[in-house]
Amino acid sequence: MGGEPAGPIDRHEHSPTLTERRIDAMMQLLRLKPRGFWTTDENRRTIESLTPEIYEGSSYYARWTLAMRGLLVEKGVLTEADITKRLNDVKARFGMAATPKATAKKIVPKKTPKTAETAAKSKSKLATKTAGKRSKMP
Amino acid sequence: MSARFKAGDPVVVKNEHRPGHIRTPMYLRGKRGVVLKDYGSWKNPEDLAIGRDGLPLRVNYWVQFRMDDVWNGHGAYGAVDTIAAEIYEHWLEPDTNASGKNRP
Repeated sequence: MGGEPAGPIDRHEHSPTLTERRIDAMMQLLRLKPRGFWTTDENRRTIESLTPEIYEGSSYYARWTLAMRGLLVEKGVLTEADITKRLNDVKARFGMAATPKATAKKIVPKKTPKTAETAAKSKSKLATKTAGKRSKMP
Repeated sequence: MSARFKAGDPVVVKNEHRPGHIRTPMYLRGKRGVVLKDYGSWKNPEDLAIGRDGLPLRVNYWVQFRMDDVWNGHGAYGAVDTIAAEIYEHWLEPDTNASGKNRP
């Protein structure tokens, strides 16, 4: 993949999980015309802008989620503060620790190049965020 | 928009490297190929990717390459092994040095 060795391809059929179906539905609704907050190409640009560490460490639909988050903020539909507040409300319901503000902003990095160390940190935080069933979709 | 190339034309992909959402695969940049088909005019995805209108429209072509050319002879490919990709017109130049090797 990307010219790098990536091992054998898993060719097994894969049924989307409930979470994956929900992410897909959310994406369709946000993209539905005439409201359509962004184009396919903006979506692709956002996914391609993820750092290699985050990209490789995320499932197909986790990347979609990161793209939705980044684009909703970019388009002014939601603010980082809105998202963090909502995440913390949901976490509180499940008795989980709140996400510190600083962490929330690092999820979809803009242009700041990362050192390997900070990238690894975001990756582990991301893994916590997207914990759950992971797809093996290409 | 009138097409600059037609099926059978030898072309070379521009070897440009710039940031943004670029649909031209990295491994095909600078490679020689031959136009198989004109796919018509489309909004420019590089432009759409940054929230613009994607105009003027760009012609998209199906372009065929020899695998041996693409991978510089690395890999066990036969003379008839090819790969085809969709490339936008602004990424293509006429291949004036075509030796007939562009096509399998």
